Parts: sequence; C-alpha cells; structure tokens
Amino acid sequence: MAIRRVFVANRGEIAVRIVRACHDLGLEAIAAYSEADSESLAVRLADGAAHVGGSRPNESYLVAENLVHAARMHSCDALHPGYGFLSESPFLAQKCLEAGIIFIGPQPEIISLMGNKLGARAMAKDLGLPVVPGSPRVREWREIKTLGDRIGYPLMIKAAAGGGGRGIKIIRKESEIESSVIAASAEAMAAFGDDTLFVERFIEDGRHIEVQILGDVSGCILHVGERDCSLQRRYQKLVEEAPAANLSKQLRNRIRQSAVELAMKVEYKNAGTVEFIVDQESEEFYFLEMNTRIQVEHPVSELITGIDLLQAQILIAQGDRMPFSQREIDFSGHAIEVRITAEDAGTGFRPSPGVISRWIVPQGDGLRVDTFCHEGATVSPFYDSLLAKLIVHAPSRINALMKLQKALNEFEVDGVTTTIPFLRRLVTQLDFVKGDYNTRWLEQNLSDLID
Amino acid sequence: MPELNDKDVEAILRLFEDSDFDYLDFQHGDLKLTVAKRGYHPSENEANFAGSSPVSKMERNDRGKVAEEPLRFSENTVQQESSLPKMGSHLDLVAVTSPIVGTFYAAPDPQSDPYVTKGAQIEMGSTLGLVEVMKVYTTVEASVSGTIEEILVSNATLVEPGDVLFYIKPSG
Repeated sequence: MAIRRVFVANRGEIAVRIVRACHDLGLEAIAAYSEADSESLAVRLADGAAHVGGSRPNESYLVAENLVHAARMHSCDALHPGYGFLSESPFLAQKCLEAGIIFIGPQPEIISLMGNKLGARAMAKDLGLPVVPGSPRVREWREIKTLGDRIGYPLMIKAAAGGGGRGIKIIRKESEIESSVIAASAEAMAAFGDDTLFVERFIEDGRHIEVQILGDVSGCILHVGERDCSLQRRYQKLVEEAPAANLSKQLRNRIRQSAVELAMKVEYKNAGTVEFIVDQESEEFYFLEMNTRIQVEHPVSELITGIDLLQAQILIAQGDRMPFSQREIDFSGHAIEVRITAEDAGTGFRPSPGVISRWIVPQGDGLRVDTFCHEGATVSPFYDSLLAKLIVHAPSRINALMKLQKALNEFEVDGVTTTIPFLRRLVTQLDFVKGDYNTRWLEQNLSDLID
Repeated sequence: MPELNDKDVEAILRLFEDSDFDYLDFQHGDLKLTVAKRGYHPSENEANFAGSSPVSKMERNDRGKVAEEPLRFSENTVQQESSLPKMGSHLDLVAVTSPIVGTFYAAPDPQSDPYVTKGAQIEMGSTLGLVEVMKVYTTVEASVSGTIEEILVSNATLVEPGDVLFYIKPSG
C-alpha cells in the first residue's frame, strides 16, 4: 500500500528530519506537538500539525492512544515513531496495526523480543552469536560470587529492562557484590519497574561497534556498515563515526556478517541496529543488543553510503523491495558526528534550558547539521538536551577531523549553555585524533577536559 | 604546495606524541589540525592568534602560566544552593530550595511512597525529593538534621531555582 501522509510521532531534530524525508519522497507529513512544542520547527515545516497533549512527555509523546487517534483524525496512513519516547513500544506498533495505520518500524513481536535484553541475549546465543560470558538472570547475590569464581572480575550487573545506563554497576571484587546488587536493583525498580538483573564480564578495553541493518518484506537483509560509538559518558553516546577506525578488515567483516545473520534469523523488517562490544585485547566481539528503531547517529552511515535511511524506512514500510543490493552499497570516506547538547560540562553536565538568542551554524562542503534550533527557539526543560548533531564527511578520517575542528570553532550558540566548548577540546585530544580510544576513555579523561 | 597525505599526518602525530610538547597547531594550505595532550587548551587569545598564523607552531604547556585552575568535576547531586540554610519567614526553620529549574518529584517512582512526609525525622544528607530536568535527576538533600515542618510543593510541579521546597526544624 502506498503511503501518502505520514504522522510524525516525535519532536526535536528527528521530527524535522522525518518531515524532510517525507517531503523528499513527495509525501505529506503531519507533526505531533505537545503544549511546549506548538511553535516548533517540525510544526512549521510540516503540512499539518496535531496537538497531542501537555508538555510533559507522559501527557503527550508517551500516550500511544493520543498519537494513534491524532494520526487517524488527520487521515495519515503511516506513523513514524522516531527514536526515544514510544519508538520501541510494541504497544504503539500494535495500536497502529489495529487502526490500519502502517507503523514505520519492525513487527511488534520483534520489538517485544529485542526490548527485553535477557530475551534478546538468550536468542542471540541460541542463534550462535557470541555473547559476553555471564549469567542470564540473577535471583540472588550469592549466584554472582559463584560466577565471579568461574569467569573472574570485573563483572557488570545490568537491569534486564534497562536503557540509558541506569541500573548498571561494576563489581571489581567479591566484597562489592552485595552492595552493588542492592543499589542496582533499587535503581532498576525505580527506573523501569522491574528489578530483574543480569551479570556479565565487564570488558575493560572495549569498543562499542554497531551495525546498521535494513530488511524488506521479501526477506532481503542488508547492512549499511558499522559505526563506532565508543565515546560515551554514563553510557550516553557523545561522538560517533563510520566506518569504525582501527578495525582489521577481517574483524569488520565478521561483525557485519553476524549482524546480518541475526536480522535474517528473526526476519527483521525495516531499519535496525545490532550492537556489539569488541574486546580490543582479544579481538573478540560479543552481541550486546538490537535496537529496533532509527538511531540518533544514523547520519554517519548515510554520509558514507549516500543512502537516506529515513526514506528507506518509509519505502520498506509501504512494502517496496530494497532498491539496491549489498554489492551496490558503496562505502566511501569517513564521517564523524558530535552531539551538541544544552548542558554545562563544567558543572557535571547540568542541563541548561532557555531561549536561544544566537545560533550561528557552520556551513560548507561535507558538513551537515541536523537540528530543530534557530534564533528565538525555546529549549524546553521537559525534554532531553540534544540541540543539534554536527556531522562531517571527508575522503579520510584525518580530513574529516580537520573539518570537524573547524566547524566546531565556527559554531556559536548563546542563550543556553552548550557542550560546544567541551567538544572543541575533546576532538583535539591526541588519543581521539589517533582513533585510539575505548568505551571508558571519556570517563577516565573527563577531568582533563573540563575547566 | 605539495599534497599532504594521511601518512604525513601520521608521521607528524608520532613526532608530537614522542615530544615534550602538549599542544600542536598544524597548518598546511587550508588544512588545519589541532592536537592536544591531557586536555591542554590554549586561552582564547592564543587560539585566535594561532588561527590567523600561516605557519605551524608548537606550544609548550607551562601549567604555571595557565590562569584558570581546573574546576573539580562535580556529579549531578547538586548541593551548593539547596544545602545553604536559608531563613524564610520561619525564623527557626531552615529552607531547602530547588537548585535548578525542573519538575519536582516527591517519590522515586509513582508506585512508591514519598521520600518524606510532614513531621518526618531526617538526617543531614537525606534525600527529600528529586528535581528532573531534561531527563537528568538532581537529588534534593537535607542540609541539616531535624524534622520536616512544611512541604511547599506537590509532586510533579515545575519549580524554579531558589523556590523553597521544604522547611526543616533543625534538631538540637
């Protein structure tokens, strides 16, 4: 069924991105908006807008019934969930299905399956994918001692229902087990209403590598290369690049192939991301999880392949066959993205909402800025602090880096405190310039980067 | 000007890495690369000067000359304002104020009981509530030990920096 009008069930930069992708395909877009977002850029660019509730996410963007109802009232035949909010809610996907609206994403069963990290991990293991040695479910803290005796320390405990780094604790020695488990289960219960924990070996020198996947209704599965998202603070990504630097060709191919195999076995449809951790010491890689939505960092994959992933999502959702084969995907050059947020790095990344009084964006060849911001735009206290993604593309990594440094120096924002000064410093660090970093590098070097 | 390739850049980086220098500002034609060790960053004026300079230059980090002392990195538990005892109209009471703009939460999640209720005995440093802004939770802590005399905000309301959230009657 051909899609004609898409309901944009999100906000911020990704809502703008979805509206533009719809227009590029000749489709109409209806933007959902909360009280606080009534004058947003997405609303202004869209062909229509639908008020979906109050400013708080749980009064608007998190209310599946409101979103589906608004989509129906505006005669939309499809709904794009973006990322965050309800993008990985099988309930929203199911509600769309029942209302006869195409959900632009995978099947509800796959969202459910991948949404539970324990289930996903068990399934990946069954399919023969490497998973980090550990225990699938901890009922009692004494079990961790047994595991520690068997596989050694350090260990990491995670919330099964987790996300965003909450409910994660590192155990370095036996005496830390009990207190860590108590803290992690309390955090997991508070954040997710589910205190189920699992434990695995903590990889000290690991890189976070994720593979972009596309699957269509005919069962064709392609990968759009990998991204390195190892620069993280509290498990939140700050910088992403594609392709991953410092990976051997053989290892790169094995990782890409594993992701394709997983997606094939679950008959994945639409865009998804398979995340791995690569142990730099042993050159082993392990499955972490699969994200069943478009990712914040998707532009780096787009820039190195020329594939518009948002457009691909929409076309796949309406039942089109993949317009290209794996062999036709040409990887060229290097892309780096930095996330610019309204936070004050100097005070522990305290969020800084406000009104943007000055907004000067770098421009030029190989530069892209995905944002909802402009002079006079309000950065609301109700939502996350992402203001813009600055993405550069150049023939080589070093050229991309030079471009990134120049672009960050030109980027000027007043009215809210941003992470631009912090990022300027980060991207000049020798380790980063060499591509020599792991998932813990940022936390370890943070104090040097802040003043 | 001869082309600069990635191998050349790698060689330059190796030289820099093995040197005693902390900061390298390299320019070749319209290509410019800045590299630093251990977070070193020139002051704004130096950076501008380097930007307009047509030649590459290295700077030695003389930490004695860097004016700003690096600030200690503080975690999201913000105490500064909330822990300052503020006297309101209630002369014998200590006011606990919101450190930031955000949504006040009286309990860790909707199913749980509030952290404190009126009349509760609390210790200095006890959690009284949370203020959430942009998905980041800041803990509101008791600045003194004592009794909760008054709770001035209800759950899930928007608070501004300096808004009084609680009055505590100090013990002893």
